[in-house]
Amino acid sequence: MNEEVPMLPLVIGSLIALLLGYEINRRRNKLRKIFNTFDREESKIAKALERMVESGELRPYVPGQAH
Amino acid sequence: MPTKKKTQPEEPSPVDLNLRSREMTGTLTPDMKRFDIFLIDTGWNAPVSKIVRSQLRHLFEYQMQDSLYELTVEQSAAILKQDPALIGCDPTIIVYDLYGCTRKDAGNYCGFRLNLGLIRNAEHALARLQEFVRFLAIHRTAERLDREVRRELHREGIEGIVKILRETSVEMLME
Repeated sequence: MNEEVPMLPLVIGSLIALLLGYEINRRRNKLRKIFNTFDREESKIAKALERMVESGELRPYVPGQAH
Repeated sequence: MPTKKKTQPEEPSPVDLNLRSREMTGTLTPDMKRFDIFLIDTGWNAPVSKIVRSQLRHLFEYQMQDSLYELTVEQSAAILKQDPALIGCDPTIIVYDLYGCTRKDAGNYCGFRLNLGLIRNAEHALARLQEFVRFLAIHRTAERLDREVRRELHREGIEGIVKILRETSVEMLME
C-alpha cells in the first residue's frame, strides 16, 4: 500500500514552475520600466515643458504644417 | 524691378499650458481632449529614434483631439538635464493625463511615460508604440487610467500571466 511519491517529476515540475515565475516577474518588471506611470505634486520636467510651450519655443504638431 | 517684400514670420502667440491634472466634473467622452503628449529624443538610440520619428505622426492621426509636441535633439537634452534619471531611456513619450488623478490628487502631474530607448530592437519598439497608441485610443474615457495601465500594459493579474506566456511561446516559435 505504500506508494512512493515520484520525486523526479516533482522536482522537475517545481523547477519549471520556479522558472516560469521568474520569467513572468522579469517581463513584468521590464514592462513597468517601459510603461512607467507617475503621479507627482511637482515636476521639473513638466514645468520646463510648460515654459517651452508658453514661450513659443515648442509648438504642437499640426497635420499638414511643416515643422 | 519691384523688390519682393520679405514677409516677417508670425510671432508665435503665447500659449498658457497647464499640465496639471484637474477634477473631472462630468463624464469623459471620446471626443474631448485628455492628453498632452511630448516626444523626448536625443537620438542616441538611432534605430529606435528613426522609427519613432517616422511613425509617431501617422499614429497620432488616431489621437487628433490631443496635443502632440515633438522636441528637437537640443530641446530634449535640455529637458533631460532636469531629470537625469531619464537619460538613456529616450526616445521617451511622456503623456500628461489631464483627468487622470483621483479627486484628492487633482492638481498633481499625472500620466505615464513610454521609454522606448530601453528597447534595442526597432521592430519591438514599434510594436510597443503601436500597443501604446491602441491603448490610449481604447481607454481614453477610463476614469482610472493608471489601473488600466497596470492591468493591460504591465500584464498584472491572471489575464496578464496568460498574455505573457502566450507572447513568450510566440517568440520562441519565431526564433
